[in-house]
Amino acid sequence: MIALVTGAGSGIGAAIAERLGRDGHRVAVNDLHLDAAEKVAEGIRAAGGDARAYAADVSDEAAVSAMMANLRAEMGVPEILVNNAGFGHQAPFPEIEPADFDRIFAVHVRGTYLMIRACLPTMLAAGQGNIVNIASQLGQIGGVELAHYAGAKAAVIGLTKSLAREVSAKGVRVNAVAPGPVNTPLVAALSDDWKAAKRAELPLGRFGEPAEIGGVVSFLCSDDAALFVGQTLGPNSGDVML
Amino acid sequence: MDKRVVIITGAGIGIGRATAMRFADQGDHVIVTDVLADEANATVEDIAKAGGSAEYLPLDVRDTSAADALVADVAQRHGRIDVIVANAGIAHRVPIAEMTDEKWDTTFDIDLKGMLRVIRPALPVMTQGGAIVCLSSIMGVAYGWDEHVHYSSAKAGVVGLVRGLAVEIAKTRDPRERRGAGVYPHRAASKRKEQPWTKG
Repeated sequence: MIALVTGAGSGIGAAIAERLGRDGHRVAVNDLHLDAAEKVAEGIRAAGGDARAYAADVSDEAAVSAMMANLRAEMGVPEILVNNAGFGHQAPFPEIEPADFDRIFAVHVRGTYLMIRACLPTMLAAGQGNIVNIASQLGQIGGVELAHYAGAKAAVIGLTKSLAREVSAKGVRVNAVAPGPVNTPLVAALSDDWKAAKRAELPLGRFGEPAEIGGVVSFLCSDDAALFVGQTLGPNSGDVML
Repeated sequence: MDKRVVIITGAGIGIGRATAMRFADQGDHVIVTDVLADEANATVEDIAKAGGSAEYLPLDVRDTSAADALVADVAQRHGRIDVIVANAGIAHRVPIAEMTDEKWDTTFDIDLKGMLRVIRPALPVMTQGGAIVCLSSIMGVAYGWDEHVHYSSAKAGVVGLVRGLAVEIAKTRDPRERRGAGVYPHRAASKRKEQPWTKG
């Protein structure tokens, strides 16, 4: 199948793209930065898979349209969509500027909406599709100085449940993944003190690795996950138990 | 034995049986336990016919010494336990006006404490890590089930068991290996068989 992964130039997105490539899917590697996406696509090809890189800002309607036109012409129609593109931003609530708030929601929520809008019609027409939205455990429990980020991730979970109710009977499964702390560039930027304290409070005693999130997405896209509809899976080292 | 050793309770029918078939298909050695001897033997025979490896060991999860003995036997003969799927359970319709202490306790004894009885002796054997999966129910975590208040309560208890156990044992040895999880099936197409000792 053809799998499109957004924000796949690094971190969790790259690991998801690599895993879906190993699973035998043809992977469209999207990122804001073409060189990062191309590097991941090269890695997938070097491992014997098939992948192409596509640059686009998922919050930009015109950029998404242009990317999808190229993708359809060069690879075909995506049957798997993984909305992973996102970025972190932390600030005390009074210091969250409207522009910060808008940008967070633009990429995480509007970007997810735009990508689904672009990919869903062909999935519905085929009566088959898999959409996985990468949320965050912060969307479930909130985070200090992360009201905008956690709010956006909670919105992704609500969107996931609603769309799942709407389209699952038509063959398109929609689910979310809400990771806990994972060793990504985003987490690497946090202070060592925070990381040590966080690690100590995790039941598992360690952060996740990007490849372990890739495994969860791989599962959700597999037939073994046929009964998973509108779910939010939590690979979070035991940090949140729902 | 090189194969992983997987203990599945209530593996004679329904979800337990299907889980046993799947683990065996993956190449694991499956310990099929149940109070239903004919059904459990059929599971073992079907696994063998498909080229898999399994054995039937009778177990009533209400019996602590039997559970201890079963785990000791498996540990002695196989030297390892890798996975426990705590699946055995009952669901009896009992309107609340008819809910006696005895009916309540029986459901809890099987559906919740029965899991503890198998997990408790197995943990010291699982020195190389492993996984414990407890079957809860959507009726214990998201909905209530009318005329099944004892069942809904016990299945909600399973979630607490999993959480407490996960926090306590996840870091105990190799933090990469030990984990616990709950599974919440909803309306799986399974056959739940009434037992003479659990009727009503």
